[in-house]
Amino acid sequence: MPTLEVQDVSLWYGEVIGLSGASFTLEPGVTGLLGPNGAGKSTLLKILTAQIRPSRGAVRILGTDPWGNPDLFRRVGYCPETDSIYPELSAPEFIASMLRLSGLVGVDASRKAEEALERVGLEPKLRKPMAAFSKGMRQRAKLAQALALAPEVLLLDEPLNGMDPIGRRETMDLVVELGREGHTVLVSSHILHEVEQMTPHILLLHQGRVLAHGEVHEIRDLIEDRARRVRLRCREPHRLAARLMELGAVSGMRFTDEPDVLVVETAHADVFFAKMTQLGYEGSLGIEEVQPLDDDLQSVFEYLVR
Amino acid sequence: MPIHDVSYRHWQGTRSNRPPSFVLGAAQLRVALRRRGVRVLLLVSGLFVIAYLGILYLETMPREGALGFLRDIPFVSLDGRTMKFFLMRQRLLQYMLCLAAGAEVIALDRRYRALQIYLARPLRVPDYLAGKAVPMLLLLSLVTWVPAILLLVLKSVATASLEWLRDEPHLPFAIMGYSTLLVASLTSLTLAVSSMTSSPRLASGQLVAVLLLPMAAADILTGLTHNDNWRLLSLDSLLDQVCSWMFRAEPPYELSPWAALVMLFLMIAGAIALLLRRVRAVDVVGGS
Amino acid sequence: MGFEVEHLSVRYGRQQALQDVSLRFESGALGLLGPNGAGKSSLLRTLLGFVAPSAGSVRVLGEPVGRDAHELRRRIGYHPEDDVLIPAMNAVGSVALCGQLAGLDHTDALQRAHEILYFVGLGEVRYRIATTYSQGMRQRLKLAQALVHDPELLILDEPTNGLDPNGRQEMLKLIRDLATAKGIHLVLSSHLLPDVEAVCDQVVLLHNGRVLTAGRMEDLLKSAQETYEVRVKGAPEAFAAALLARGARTTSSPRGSLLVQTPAHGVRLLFDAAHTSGCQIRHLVPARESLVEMFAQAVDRGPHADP
Repeated sequence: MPTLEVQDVSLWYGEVIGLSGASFTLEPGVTGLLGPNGAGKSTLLKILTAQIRPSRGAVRILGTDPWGNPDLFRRVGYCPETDSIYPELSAPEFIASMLRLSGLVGVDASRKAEEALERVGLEPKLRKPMAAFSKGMRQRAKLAQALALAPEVLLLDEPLNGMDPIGRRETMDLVVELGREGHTVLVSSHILHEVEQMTPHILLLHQGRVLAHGEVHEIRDLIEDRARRVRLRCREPHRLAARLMELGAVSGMRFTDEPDVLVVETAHADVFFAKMTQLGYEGSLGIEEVQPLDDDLQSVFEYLVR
Repeated sequence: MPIHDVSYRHWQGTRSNRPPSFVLGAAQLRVALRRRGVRVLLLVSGLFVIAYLGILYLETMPREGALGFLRDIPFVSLDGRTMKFFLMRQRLLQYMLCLAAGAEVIALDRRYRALQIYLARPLRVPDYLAGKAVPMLLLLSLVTWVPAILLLVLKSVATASLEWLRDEPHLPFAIMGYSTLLVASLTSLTLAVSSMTSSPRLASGQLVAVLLLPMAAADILTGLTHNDNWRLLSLDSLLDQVCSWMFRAEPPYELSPWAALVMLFLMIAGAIALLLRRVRAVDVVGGS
Repeated sequence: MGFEVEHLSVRYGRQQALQDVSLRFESGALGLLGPNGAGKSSLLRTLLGFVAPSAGSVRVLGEPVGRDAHELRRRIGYHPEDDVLIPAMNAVGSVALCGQLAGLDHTDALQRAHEILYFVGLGEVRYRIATTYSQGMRQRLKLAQALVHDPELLILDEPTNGLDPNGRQEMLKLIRDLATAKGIHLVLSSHLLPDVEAVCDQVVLLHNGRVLTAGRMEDLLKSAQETYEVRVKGAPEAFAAALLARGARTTSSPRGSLLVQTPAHGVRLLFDAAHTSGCQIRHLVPARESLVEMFAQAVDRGPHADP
């Protein structure tokens, strides 16, 4: 049963289109929200958090339409991209006050705030006003605010932005953990390396439309008009080239400056890799490295976003 | 011929030694002159000059002519009195020029953090401030001593005599001295106000307040206590007092001109100290 | 020579920002890493001549940094981290102004401004007022402003901030070209370690105001013996079991592939296990420590600040 459903949702700002007939469903786990600037990511997150009403289409989060249902946001956490904090408050005060807005009272709110701060790696009793926070600490405070009510659905807009490498690693670990715990996490990011480390599952937007949704490698398999390039390092590249020619399943080959490297192009990945694995098993050619050059998220992104 | 690509190319030239504050000042001046407000104000000031050219024309007319009687009107003469009038009566215009050409310059740079770009070049803080001051220095000069001196030169040429200099030998010094004080105090004050905030609109508002509030306060306090020493608070009164003193005219207030002069210098020094505190190079590399 | 600091200490009032830092950067591209508050900004400030060291010596491009530090900035290009621009000017005007401020004459500056704006990919929009630029365009404009006077040392502070994936790749390509093909000394300060890994051949890791690690990337990121990063298609569980049966040890790597530590003759063993379990080998390379791992380990075991 999907926790989040978007059905044919469009949004226009006057004549400008923000989102164009987007449909997808999310289930528990982490999904990376990707797209170039202006692709509609922020618009989508604004619709999901009921900040704007879609011009057309239906949104269901946990079975409820978020528009006009503020109660839903006890079960949906949102970490906005903009610096939406109160600089004069301390982090525990900020989160506790947000929790009180959701209806929690006194001690309960403070306790929940401290738990959330601990979880994102901030000192839970820190009395420093947030004006003195670094960018990374502000991000963590916003994240804690989103997490505080242990919501089933989490919408995180560029949560790693401005964090230092340690903060990034800890936050990525936290996102992965939240996914494993059964939360539905939609996390947007421009840093594809980091998305790859959080999840293989992506939702790619471009020009207001959903371009691709699913596992990166599956999506790569569906891009048929791009032959795959694979870099093979072996003892005898010329003999390997000859063998691969005999066996078929390659559409091009190239030698490089390195004497033991052969770059192969293939349109039929399945056939090629099966044959190559067989050759490696036979062992006479000494295949040592197999490195696909264009099946990572970066290549998928580049091929789809043109 | 070798084939070139469109990638990065090194620059093969020699560096010039123009002071960076000149370069920055010239760019600032171009920006200032693009503003409609500045151009309108310059035009209005030009009308003033044309009016004075009219006076000069009448003054050089023969007494026997049809309009000769006009020469007996005391105003129709470019003497110390009318030159003082010329400089003092344009005060409002000068304030407006400060608003149009100066109030926003540093505030805008703070808002867009342009200082980080400027100071990462071979440019020190004083160079930056000097560059930012250039448009105001030039524009204010253009409505004070430049036309005043020009009018006197014209008068000398038209009457083919330097009689006026014999009558009032202090006149060139009064014009230059008062103009310098006015330009320096208004420029430093405007830039200091501009450096206080990163909102251009707020900077303009603050400049209006800084110019008007002390004036009003001085008026009220003088009215209540009948003590003209309160006039020391108001830049406007200080300039009036110093101007009358330099032109050897009846001073408007019972106030020592020396005290007024010292107060003006204090204001300028305070504004510059404030500027140097507000514009610092350490902030160029952000550390947040 | 790029720069050289010896026993450098910097303090602001009572706060010690850098302590006894000694570094030498000859040429190439240097990655400057460190958690927040490590002292990266202080080092950059010192190199640019904005703060005077409390102890130690600094030489940039062979010249001592002292009273005439601003003269030295003619030869340095600096790309600040913050979102900065010159208001009320179009891109050509502001880039040309930057060139003139660094000593180019008017026509030279204007010609360079056009050339550089094309180089950074803003050619089509070069007459637009910079305040109307998107964040990605502003980032490119900052690079243009840092390059217009053809600096010998280019200091980039988080140059890919706010760029989308394709914009980021393009930016990294430009930067790499500058450092490798055009001989510009490049210092790249960034929290995005993949960027640093893609561009730099040397790194310095600062922590609590001290140098934790410094050296050439290839020396720091040693590949582990007989350990491979493997991805298979088919039945990964069967593959793992087959490996286990052959005496290999497996862990999952952050990128969803398998890290396999094998006894001798690793590659043969991997193909063997794939054949038995009926899997295709889709990816097989010797595992190399990434900069992220190196960073995390160094900071975890590194010295901590004096109280």
